[in-house]
Amino acid sequence: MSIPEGLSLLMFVVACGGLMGGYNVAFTLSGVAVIFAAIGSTLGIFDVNFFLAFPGRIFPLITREILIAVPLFVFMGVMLEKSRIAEDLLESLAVLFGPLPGGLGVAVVCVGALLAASTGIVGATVVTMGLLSLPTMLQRGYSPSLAAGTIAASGTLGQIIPPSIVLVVLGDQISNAFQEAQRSHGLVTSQVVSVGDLFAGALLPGLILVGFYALYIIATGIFSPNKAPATPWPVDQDRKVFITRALKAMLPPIILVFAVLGSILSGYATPTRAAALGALGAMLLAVIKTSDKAIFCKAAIISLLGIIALVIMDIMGVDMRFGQNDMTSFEQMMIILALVICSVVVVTLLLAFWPMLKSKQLSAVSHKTMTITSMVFAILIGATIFSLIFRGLGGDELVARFLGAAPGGKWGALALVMIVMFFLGFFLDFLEITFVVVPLVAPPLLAFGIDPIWLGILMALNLQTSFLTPPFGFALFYLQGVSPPEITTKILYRGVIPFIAIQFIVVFLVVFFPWLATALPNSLLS
Amino acid sequence: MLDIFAKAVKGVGWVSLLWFTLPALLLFCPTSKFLREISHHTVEIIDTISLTVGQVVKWALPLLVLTVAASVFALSLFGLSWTKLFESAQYLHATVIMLGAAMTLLLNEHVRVDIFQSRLKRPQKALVDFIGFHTGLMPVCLLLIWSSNSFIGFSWQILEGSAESDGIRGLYLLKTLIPAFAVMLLAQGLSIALRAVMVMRKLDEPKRPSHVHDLFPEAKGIGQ
Repeated sequence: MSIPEGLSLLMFVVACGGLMGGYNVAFTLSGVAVIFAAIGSTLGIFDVNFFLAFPGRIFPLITREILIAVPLFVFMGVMLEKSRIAEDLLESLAVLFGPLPGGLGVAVVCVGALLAASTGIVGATVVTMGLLSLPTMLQRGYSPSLAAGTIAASGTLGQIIPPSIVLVVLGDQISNAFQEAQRSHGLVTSQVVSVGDLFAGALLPGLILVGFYALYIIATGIFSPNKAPATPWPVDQDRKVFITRALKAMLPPIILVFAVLGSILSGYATPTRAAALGALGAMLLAVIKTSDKAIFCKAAIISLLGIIALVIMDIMGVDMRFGQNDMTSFEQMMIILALVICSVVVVTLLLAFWPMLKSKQLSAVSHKTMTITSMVFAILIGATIFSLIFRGLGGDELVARFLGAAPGGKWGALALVMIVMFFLGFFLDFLEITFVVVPLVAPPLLAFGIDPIWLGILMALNLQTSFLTPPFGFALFYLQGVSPPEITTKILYRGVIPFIAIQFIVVFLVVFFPWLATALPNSLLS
Repeated sequence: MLDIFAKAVKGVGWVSLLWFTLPALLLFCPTSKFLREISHHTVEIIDTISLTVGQVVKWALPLLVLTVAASVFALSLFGLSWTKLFESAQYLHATVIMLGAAMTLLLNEHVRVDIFQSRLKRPQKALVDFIGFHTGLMPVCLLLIWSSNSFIGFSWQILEGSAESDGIRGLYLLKTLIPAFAVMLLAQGLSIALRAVMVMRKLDEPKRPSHVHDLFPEAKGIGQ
């Protein structure tokens, strides 16, 4: 190992240690890197002109089309959360599943899976889920350890189930790494990977996880009913009225999430465009739910229907491009119809915006979306500076050589990376690991001929497991922060162990049956 | 003309570097009334600017939603591909993430690894931020500003526009967001470092704007 490589290794270690100090992640990473670059340049092994490349590397990050999906997905999630649509969804699912053994627990798992997009930060999702459902679960007589385990596990589900922003950034990094592998590691293939591919790949493993979680909770409910008691439907209400009300609260957000996902997987829209439609839809749902004046409510409904009509017209494939030479009268009619619908949508949309503005709700949602997005991109910029300097010192070649020399070739290298990532997951959140580690390890791994989608899904599952694992799992810290004192650390640990076992089962399923991750994206491609 | 402007900006930049000695000066002479007053004003001015910019810029987000949604229909329904519409989404997005960063720092929403940090006492937390500013945020931001010099300099000279013929002619402004991000974060970092010194030296802190939380809250027991 040469001096610069040793320096790059030391830099990585110091950065991990420095992060423990608790200063914000973005500037700890980049700060440590800059200090090591300074040391390197005094030793004459680092060229200061390297710094001049920074703005040129940062600029594409802030303008890349796929990353515009991040604020849009966050906007959608925050809107669903702030307008209490998410809360209602949980409540009605809980009531509906109530008579089932472990029904409330299953409801929590489903909501965790559906709210995937709301944030990319493990902490935030777990906190939200904890505040939302822990008191209810305890009140209904769930055993504290089962309740805590369910919530911690469901809070991390949001990362693996599309559309999650974690998969957006991971997909972006994997896609870059794949090109890098082709460019400088001699991988010969004409394939490209997109974020949409990763979404498709994550769907099946994610659903398997949800299914296993639910099975475990139901089984607990059946075999020890005192741990997960069933709650019968209220008897004093008319059953029909009650079910209609539950469905009314449930269906809109569920349909919204499925529509967004469907439009990405079917290739109708890019993730960014689907996210924008999703954000718009979430806002209209929020107006319908929270506005007290009928006119705004109606405007939002009309607007929503108009958007749906436009999408349907588009899918039907009527050629409505302007400036065609041979336009049939049917096409002309459709264009006029589409234009009318468009103008109706614009007018009603503006009308629907008004109560949002007036109640300061739009302001609050934008505020929170901005702080989350700024945070994500600050880390992205910090991590980019870190990896640039790491490469400048020759660290990437060190990593590649190290992985190449791993015993067992491809599988040894893969296992090594997975174990390292698992332990890094104790200290760092998803974003830092994705931005710092993936660009370093993915190109040499992919050069072995490993399927990029499979690799991405394995990494995501692995990290998700890491966040649940005591004693350092992120999800556990955050959940404990919002739990009542009777949830002790021991109860919490005991609660998550079965879920960790499920995680490991699914990780190994995906390892041994790669088609779980790759079949769907491949079939969508062809 | 542009040359004089650039020189003026650089001059102001060099002079304002002096300001960054303020936290250290205050740390060593906490009794100086002069230093305390300057620090108070600095903190108040910087916090107001960051908050105001953040509050304005956040409105770009609803606009971003509308812009991207509109471009979906324009393209897929009517086959119109308005480069300007598509590019304005980039401008809105970049503006939000770059100019919102300083307010995010003030509101303490940038992620920290708080396994240990959350258990520290108030002055210890302040020390973490003081050190973090001087070894992390400040060098990185100064480096970004320095390295942007040539990156945006040329762009400004030709008032660079989009590579597409029907695009927005403001690429030089978009590129300027990078040093703007660094300058705003640098200023906000200075303000926080000053607050940290005030906490460490037990001086009066300037009043916090209404929705800004205490940056260095006293440690809470787990489970509360």
